[in-house]
Amino acid sequence: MSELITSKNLEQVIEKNKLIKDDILRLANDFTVRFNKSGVTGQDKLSFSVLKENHLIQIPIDDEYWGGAIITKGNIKIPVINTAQPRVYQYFVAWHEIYHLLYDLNLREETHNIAVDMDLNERRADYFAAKMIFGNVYDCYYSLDDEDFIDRVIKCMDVYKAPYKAVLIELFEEAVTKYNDLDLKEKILEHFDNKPDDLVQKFIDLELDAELVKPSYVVSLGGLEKKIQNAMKENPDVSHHKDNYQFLLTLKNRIKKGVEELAK
Amino acid sequence: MSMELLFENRKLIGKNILNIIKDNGYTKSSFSRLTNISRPTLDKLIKGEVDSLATFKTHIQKILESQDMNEEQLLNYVPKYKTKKELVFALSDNAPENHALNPKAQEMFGILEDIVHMYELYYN
Repeated sequence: MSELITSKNLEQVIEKNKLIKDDILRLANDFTVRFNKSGVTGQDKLSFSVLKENHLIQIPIDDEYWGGAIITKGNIKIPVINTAQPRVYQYFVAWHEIYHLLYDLNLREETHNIAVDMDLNERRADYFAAKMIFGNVYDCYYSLDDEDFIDRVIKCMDVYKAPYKAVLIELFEEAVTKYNDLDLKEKILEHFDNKPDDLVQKFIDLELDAELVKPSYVVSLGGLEKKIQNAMKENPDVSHHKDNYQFLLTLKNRIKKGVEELAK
Repeated sequence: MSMELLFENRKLIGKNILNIIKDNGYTKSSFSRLTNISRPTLDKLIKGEVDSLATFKTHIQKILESQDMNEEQLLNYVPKYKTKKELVFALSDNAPENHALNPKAQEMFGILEDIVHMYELYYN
């Protein structure tokens, strides 16, 4: 479970980041070398393509806090993303889950009983996500002409396809640890707990693509349907594959009905 | 062997039923259709929570018939493979402690659980 970051614990978060920075930068580099063999350039596409190789389940769950998970069952690790959350959250959660999927020692079967600092483990996953998503946010922020702080942050959200708080944390870290920019630090603290509740309209007003701050409601069961169909073809005499296939279709219909209700 | 003995050991019987389901590639739902036992009742059987002997007998009989087994085989069922310790990590969840899931979200988590069970059958 990720800790809830507020203006009150923001400085502590930055202190934690200092402890793990070198390690996380090394992993971010390792990821680029080992897992981006096709040279995918869009960070959102890259994270989803890696998760899809691991049979990603995309399912809309009507809950504002539950972003996703790695579910381990026996030998398999299944990534799940909640597509009822705005796309910017999905992109961030995707990288967070990649950290757990590929680098989280606590999820390796032989070591899963080792007691770890769960808060720090989650911070590592979030920091990894931030390092995979952001370039130089500080420069980006100051390159914008807008006088309005929130408008600038929204434009940074658009550039990096990143959530509001993630942009502010990254900006805060740069302002505090690199540039000693006290004015920006104060502005961030002032606005951190007050995320605009009309982000869609703000994106439209700034002539940006508002789809980024809307849910996608994508439903994908990671190729399971095809897998069962193949099992049916290979074993036509085994009746439970047919049964399972029918059951899967029933589940898909129930999910689709859920999507229709959510999208109303 | 009497059905009463199975009833006395209904927690163990529940575990054995779950192993039979897993070993034979069923989901709880497909097994419920196969045996004509409702899903909620099947869940109770698996948890060993059916407290009426008469109800227990009726449903266990259906399972025995569907699997061509007798009472002794059900009581002493040995799983074909030992299931490894299961872990479920909900990792991107920063809900406050008092946060309750709404019914629609709960239903979707139920569906997710069924899907994950199928993954276990087809991707392992």
